[in-house]
Amino acid sequence: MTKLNKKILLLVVEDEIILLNVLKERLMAEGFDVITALDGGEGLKLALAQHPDLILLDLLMPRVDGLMMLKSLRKDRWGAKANIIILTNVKDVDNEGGKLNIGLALGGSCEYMLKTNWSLDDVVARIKKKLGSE
Amino acid sequence: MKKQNIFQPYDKVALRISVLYMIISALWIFFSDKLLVGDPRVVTYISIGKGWFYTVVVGFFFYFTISRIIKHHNQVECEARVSESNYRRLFETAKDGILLVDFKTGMILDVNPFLVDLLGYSKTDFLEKYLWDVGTFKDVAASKDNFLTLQEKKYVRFEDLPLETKSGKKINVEFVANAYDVEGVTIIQCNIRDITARKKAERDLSEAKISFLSVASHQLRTPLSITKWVLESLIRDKQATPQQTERFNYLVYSNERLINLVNDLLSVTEIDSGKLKVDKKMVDINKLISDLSNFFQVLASARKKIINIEIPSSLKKVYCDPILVYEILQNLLSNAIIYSKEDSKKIEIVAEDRPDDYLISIHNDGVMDFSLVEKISSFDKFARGIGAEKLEPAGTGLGLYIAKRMAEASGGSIWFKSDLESGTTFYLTIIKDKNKK
Repeated sequence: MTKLNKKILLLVVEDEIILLNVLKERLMAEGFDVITALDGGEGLKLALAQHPDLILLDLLMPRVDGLMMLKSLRKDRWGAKANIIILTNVKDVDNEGGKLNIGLALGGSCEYMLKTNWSLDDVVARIKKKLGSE
Repeated sequence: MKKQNIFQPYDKVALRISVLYMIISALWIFFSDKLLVGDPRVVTYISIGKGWFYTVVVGFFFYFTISRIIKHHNQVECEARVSESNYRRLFETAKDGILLVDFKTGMILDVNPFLVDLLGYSKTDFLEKYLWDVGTFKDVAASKDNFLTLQEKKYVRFEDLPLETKSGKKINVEFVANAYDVEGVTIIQCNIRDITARKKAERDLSEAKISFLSVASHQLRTPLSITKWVLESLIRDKQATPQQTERFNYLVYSNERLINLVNDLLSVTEIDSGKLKVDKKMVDINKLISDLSNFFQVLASARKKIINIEIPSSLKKVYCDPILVYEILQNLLSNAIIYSKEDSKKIEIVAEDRPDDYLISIHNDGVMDFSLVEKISSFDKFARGIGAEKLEPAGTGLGLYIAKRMAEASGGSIWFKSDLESGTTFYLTIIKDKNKK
C-alpha cells in the first residue's frame, strides 16, 4: 500500500476534532489521501463530489448524523455501492432501532467498528483489507 | 349472610314459664269448683281472683318475651342493613372495577360504577349478559376457556390483560377472579384494576434507561477512544525516551482497563434492562471460532499458551446470534488464557454436533487458579475467584455473568468443570432450531 501509483482517497466524517486529527495524521502516514468533514451534511457533499475510495463514518454527530448521511448516500447511484466503515462509539444495539437499523443501512459494502475496541492499527488493517479485497 | 337464631336463651325460659303458667291457670279455673268446698260465693271469688292473677302473670311473661323477641329481631335487621349498606358503599365507590358473575352460568349479576366508567359500557350492557358477550371481554382470547378454568380452580389471575373500552381505547388491567359461596350460592367476584398509568410509567422508565445507556455508551467511550488513539500515535512516533514509552504503556494498560469496565458495565445494564436482543442467523461457526482464536493469538503467545481448535467437518452452519456467541466465547477464552496456571500450555476449543444442540467447550489442561470454585459457580455479578485479582487486576468480575445471561437469552446454557486430573472446561450449548437446518 505504501507505493501506489494512484493514491487512495479516504473521507473521514467525524465531529470529534481530536479523533479526526489523530486518524487523519495516521492515515496520511500510511500513504492515503484524506479529506475530512465534521458532520453528515458536509460529508455527503464531499462524498458525492469526490467519490472517495472509502468513507470512515461516525454515527452520532450534530446536525446531520451518520445514519441520515448513509441513507441519503445509498440513494445515489455511486453512493449505493460506496465502501463504508462505520466508526462509532454508539454500540449498534444502543442505537434507535438497534441492530436492524444499522443492519438495513449496512446494505452495500459497509462494516462496523466500535472505536474504543479497536486501535488505529486495527482501523488501518481493516481499510487495507477492505480495499484490497475488491 | 348466615341465618341468625332470633331467640336468645332467656327468651326461651320466659316462654316456657309462661306456657306452664297458662296450663296451670287453665287447669285451676276448670277444676277449682270441684275441688273447693264451702261457701259457693267465697269459692267463686277465690276462683275468679286466681284466674285474674294467673292471667296477669301470664300476660306479663308474654309481653316481656314477645317484646324481647321483637327488639332483638329489629336489632339483627338493623345490623344487616348497616352491613349491607357498608358493603354496597364499598362496591359503589371502589376505585377498582368489580363484577359479580354467576358461577354456574357465567351470567353477570352486578357491576360497580367504576367499571361502567372504565369500560364505557352502560350498566344494562352488563346485566344479565354472559361475561364473554360483553364487547370488552369478547376479544380476550379464549374468554370462555378462561371461565372454565375459573370454574375448575375457583381462581384466575391475569397480571397484565390488554382490554379495549367501548370507545376503542386500549387499556391494561390486572384481572383477579375468585369464586366464593353466599348462602349456598356460588358467586364469582372479578376485581379489575386499571394499570394503564403504571404500565406507562414502567415504559417511560425503561425508555429512560435505554436513553441513559445510549448516552453513557457514547459519552464514556469518546474520551476513552481519544486517549487510546492519541497514546497509540505517541508510542508509534518513537520520539519518546524508553522511560517515557514505558509510562505511555502504563497509560495504555490503564485506559484498556477502563474500556473493559465500561464495556462490561454497559453489557450488564443492557442485559438487566431486558434490552439484550437475540438476532439469530445461519453462522459459519468454524470461521467464528477461528476469528476468535486469531484475535486472542497475541495474548495467548504472550502467556505462552497454544490454542487448538477441533471442529468436526460436518459442523458448518449453525443457527445462532453470532455477536452473542462471539462475546460469550471471548469471555470464556480470555478466562482460559489469563486465569490458567503457568504450567498449563494448551487451550482447546472443541465443538460437537449433538442431537438437540451444539456443544462448544473451552478446555485448558491445568486447574483454574480459582481457589474457590463455588464462588464462580453462581456466575454472579462481581463474583471473582480468590486470587483472580492478582492474575488479572483489570478483570471486572462481570465476564461470566454476561456470558451466562447471553447464553440463556439465546436459549442455551453454560457451565464448567474443574478438577486436578482433567483440568478446567467451560461448556456452552447452542440449542438447535429444528426448522433451521
